[in-house]
Amino acid sequence: MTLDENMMTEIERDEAWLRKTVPADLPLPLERTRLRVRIEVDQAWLERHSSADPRAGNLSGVKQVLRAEAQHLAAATPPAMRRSRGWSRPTLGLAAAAALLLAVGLALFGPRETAVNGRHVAAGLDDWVEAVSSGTPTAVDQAAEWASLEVSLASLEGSLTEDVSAARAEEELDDLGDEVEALLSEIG
Amino acid sequence: MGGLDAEALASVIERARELEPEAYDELVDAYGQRLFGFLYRLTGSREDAEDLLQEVYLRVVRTLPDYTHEGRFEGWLFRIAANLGRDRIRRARRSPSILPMSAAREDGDFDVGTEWDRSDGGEASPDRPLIRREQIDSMQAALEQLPAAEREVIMLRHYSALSFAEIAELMGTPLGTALARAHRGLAKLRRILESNA
Repeated sequence: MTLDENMMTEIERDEAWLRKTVPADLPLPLERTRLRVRIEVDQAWLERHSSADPRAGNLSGVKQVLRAEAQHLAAATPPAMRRSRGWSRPTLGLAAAAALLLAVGLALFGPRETAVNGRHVAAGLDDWVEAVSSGTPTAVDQAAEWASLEVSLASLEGSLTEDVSAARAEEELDDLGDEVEALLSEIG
Repeated sequence: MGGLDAEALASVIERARELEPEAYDELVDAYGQRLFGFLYRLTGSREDAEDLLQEVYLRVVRTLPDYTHEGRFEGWLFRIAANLGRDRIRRARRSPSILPMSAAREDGDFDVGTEWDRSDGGEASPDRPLIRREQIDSMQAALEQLPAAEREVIMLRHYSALSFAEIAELMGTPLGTALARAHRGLAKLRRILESNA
């Protein structure tokens, strides 16, 4: 047996011992990680797809981008293709979710914060997420409302694939925007 | 050891490149616990480890477009984690306001059991078996007696499915160095823990 083979044998023996000896780590709740990553993903998506000045970061600016996207989708995509196009994720739903998250950031940091930074948003949300996870009734209600809004936002994209007009999509977007603003005023 | 099979992983990576949020959820679910365990053992701080875990995934979001998938995603992921962990440890050494676990223990002002008890989201529980606290404490204390490079290679082997060749590449060392570090580190770890038993 060579020196390396001998060393490997001893390493394998000690690794087997280590597997038995290291106590199982207590699991980490991953919600906060998931949420922080989602915010980063939405921010990245917005930066990738929005031609608007990313520093603008205000709800109306984002909504303009969404409207343009909705109009483009409705006008440029033949109905027959809408059900079969290969988007892996509802484009508009993502943008709307990003709008929601950016808007939450605005509410948390105030109108002076024009450069909405995803990391700041995440840091700000930590408190709120803590309040939700600790079962603070108001925060839990807000979380439920947020979840409901996200479902609505995602279904908006669904309505586009079902050949709903751009005007209708825009109308739905406005309604959702109002709901987002109402929720934000509560959280803020 | 957890993770995703090759086909599922390739698909998730592709969806993640398209910034599909659910793809990132899947990556967090598949690797989050093991990355957390690795980062905890590396830093000795549960809070730091969770913070670093989030930072790992934020880096993934930012750098996945530049990543070339050749079946070595796990190595790439753990490389990010190891680099961030090393940076955090270096910063902790420089800044007295960030106390690494060992420094805090020297001050007699750090209760490992309490921190772990809070880690499952609840308040510190006096009912958790003392033996478990002692096991965790003695393992972490033993790990901290190892040189950082030895601890890192042992923990990379323990928490990731990486080969020594991959770990050597990740750490930027020859294979022989990685093997020797593992060999020395494991032998020391055994000696420390068995002498305390």
